[in-house]
Amino acid sequence: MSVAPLLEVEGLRVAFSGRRVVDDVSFTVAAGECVAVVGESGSGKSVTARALLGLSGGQVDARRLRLGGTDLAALDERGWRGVRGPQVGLVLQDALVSLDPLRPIGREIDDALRLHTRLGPAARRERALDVLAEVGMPDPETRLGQRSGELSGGLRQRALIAAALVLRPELVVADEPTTALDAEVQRVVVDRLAALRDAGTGVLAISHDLGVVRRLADRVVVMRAGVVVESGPTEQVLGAPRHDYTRMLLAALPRGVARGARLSPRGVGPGPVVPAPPAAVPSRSAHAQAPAPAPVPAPAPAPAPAPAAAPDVVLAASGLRRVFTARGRAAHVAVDDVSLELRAGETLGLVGASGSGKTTTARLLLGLDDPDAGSATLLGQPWAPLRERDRRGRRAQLGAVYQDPASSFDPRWSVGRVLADAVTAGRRTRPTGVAAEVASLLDRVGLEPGTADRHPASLSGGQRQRVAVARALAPRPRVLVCDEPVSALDVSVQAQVLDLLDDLQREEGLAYLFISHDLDVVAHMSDHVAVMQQGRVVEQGRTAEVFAAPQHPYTRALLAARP
Amino acid sequence: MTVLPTLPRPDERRGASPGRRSRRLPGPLGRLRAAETVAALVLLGVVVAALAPGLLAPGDPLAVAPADAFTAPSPAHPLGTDESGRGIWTRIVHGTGASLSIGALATLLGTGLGVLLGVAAGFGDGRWPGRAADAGVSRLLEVLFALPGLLLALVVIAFTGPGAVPATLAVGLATAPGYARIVRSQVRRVRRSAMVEAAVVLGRRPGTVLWRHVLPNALAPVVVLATLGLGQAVVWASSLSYLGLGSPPPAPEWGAMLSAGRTYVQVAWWTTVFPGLAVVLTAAASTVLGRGLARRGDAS
Repeated sequence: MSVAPLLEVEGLRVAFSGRRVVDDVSFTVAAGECVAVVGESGSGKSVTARALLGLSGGQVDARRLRLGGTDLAALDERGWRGVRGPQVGLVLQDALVSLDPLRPIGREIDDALRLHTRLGPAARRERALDVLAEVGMPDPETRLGQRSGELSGGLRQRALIAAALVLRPELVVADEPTTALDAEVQRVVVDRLAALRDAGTGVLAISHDLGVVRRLADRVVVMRAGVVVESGPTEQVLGAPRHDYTRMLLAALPRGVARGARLSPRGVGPGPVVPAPPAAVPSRSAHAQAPAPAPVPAPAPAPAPAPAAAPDVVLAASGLRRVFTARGRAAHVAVDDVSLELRAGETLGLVGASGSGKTTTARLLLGLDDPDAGSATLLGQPWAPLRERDRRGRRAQLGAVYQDPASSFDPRWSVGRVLADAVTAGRRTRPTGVAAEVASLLDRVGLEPGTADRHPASLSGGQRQRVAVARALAPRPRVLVCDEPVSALDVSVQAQVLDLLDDLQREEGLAYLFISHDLDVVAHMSDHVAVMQQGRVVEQGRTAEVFAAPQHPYTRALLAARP
Repeated sequence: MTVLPTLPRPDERRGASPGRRSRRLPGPLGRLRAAETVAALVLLGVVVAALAPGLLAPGDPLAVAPADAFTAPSPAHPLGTDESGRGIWTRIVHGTGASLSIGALATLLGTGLGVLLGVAAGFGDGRWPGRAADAGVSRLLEVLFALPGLLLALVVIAFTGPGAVPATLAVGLATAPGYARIVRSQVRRVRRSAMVEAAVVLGRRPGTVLWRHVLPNALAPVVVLATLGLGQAVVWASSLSYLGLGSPPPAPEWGAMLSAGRTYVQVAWWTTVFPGLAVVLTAAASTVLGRGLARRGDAS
């Protein structure tokens, strides 16, 4: 880039009540360039982005903070208002809460035009329609009058992008623009941002998703704990990372890593310390169930200590159907004729976009909801539909791990009490040995014994999910239903939790029903996979085969949409 | 009334954000704001007066001294005397027990009934028995809500006749619908939480779930609300006495004293002002403390 950069950040520091969360961060963004800031929760990447709009809320100082001809460091609140919108557009994460539910999206877009241009109503409407069409919003005329509740997640995200773009800012800051979106929608959003970049706008993308970054960014800035640890062209940083942290992030990606191979650098529990496998080369080839790549020093044993014969079916569903009816609305078929088989010691992955019926299927199989048709068996015995009273005695055989473990714990209970309750099956009497059992559970999931005294709220997301796994293990189940167990976690923590689940499966012969919207995670974890679309299983088979040669058009579309 | 021990968990990270600084006292009371400290002291005084009135006012609240009638506040009678020469201070202090116990017992009754109704309505899982209970209780509550609370209390008294016990019952029944509504929504919230789902997956019985998870988590706001409601109950109890439907004269009770004094309000203002002040102070103090608890509850 020979031209002067559009955005220059040098020595940026942000502190909150004296605690520095961003320290000496420097980078530039040129017009027509996309720079990605990557890092995990708490790395300071979002605070950095907000500081560029004067929205960080902390004490900001920088040796140099310039956008185009404007010195951002010298702006007062009035000055900032002139910059936000016309010069910098912000695309926020989570369009659900970033749009006012009571206002049509046309109004959101119109606001920017009314504040910053002298256009009349007709011209503003014209511009709003233009920008909606530009971000690929279908039927913009109608959408203009709709509120965020009437739009799907992808359309909401597009509306947000449109609102950020309508004033043609020189720089667009996108904070986690694809998080919480399905793969297909993610792809559309990434394409829009790429088109914007190609049209000459500077794009600063904040993301923890290295797949998205690889597709979108020209250059990458890797942040950790408020400091830039590495930066450079995307191919160089992601292809040949120099810093250990970047390497660790890349190694943690499940894409293309064979089933059973480790993702996280350290072994969990007493196992030997396994060095990180080399950065996974992004490959679109089959994720064959071949042994781990050669450079891995301690290749994992085969997934199950499998006997030659096919293992027993532990959990089976046949023709499950669940219809939700609401007064005055058409009945919604959430799950339609779903049949699944999960065998001992194996993992069955369940993938599909949000709203495809994955979670409803899980709830039916967990006996939290009754099917309208069809049935399920657990270890060969009838399981659903069944009266809860008859089911309760066999609940110990089936455990569950949820996406948001925080809300699945009683906030008043310590970790020790949660686990003791699970160990004693809820009895108040504490037979001797409960403390030892709790300690052993904590050890098995790789937590310190001292964790027992803490409250789940004071733990990190990964630690909390480990506690959730420990609780699920306490009754010694044969089957675990894991509903999006890692989708709320950072990629390196995700890697550790996936490794933990893998280890436990091997040691205890557990069977997993593993639900995720993340195809790479499912490909890494599953022996078999079932693809759901609109309540139906459209394709089902061995993971390697389905991923290598998808039969159903929807599966093909899902695979093609992966970032 | 033991209000202080129900303060929320001491491990809250209070004062972590700079924006929430306010005046706090040093020492063990440092966690209370100044207004809450005053309120706590007032309530402490009220509790002492209720438990050991002789400590604050050694005289006899019923001893008649016609010669001293309508004495203005003076060293001998700090708050003056009424038409029979009885000390207002003495009667207020000795009346605390009656006023407060009606208020407290009525609140207890109201919350107890509210919890029963609220749990019955909220604990069901949308299938048959729970659904019917919810529909039944909710319709009943709607009917009760259509009547103003005090009117409801008067209806109860119309059946039972006047007296301290009927007044307690009346105020308790009249406040129950409000509590029931809150408990119902809280129980439903916890009932649908992932925590309860996790307990069901672990094979816990409904009773265990209710007792161990739903009640403790649903009732915290109710405790706060009851503190707020206590002041209201004291006012209502006094109102009923004022109307001659609570404690009968000559028993010292704040509302009854107000009622007796209103005839002489032109000549002896102190016969009404001080009992009224007692009602207001008690109600205000428990409201301030209740709000403090509520604020802390929200923060956690």
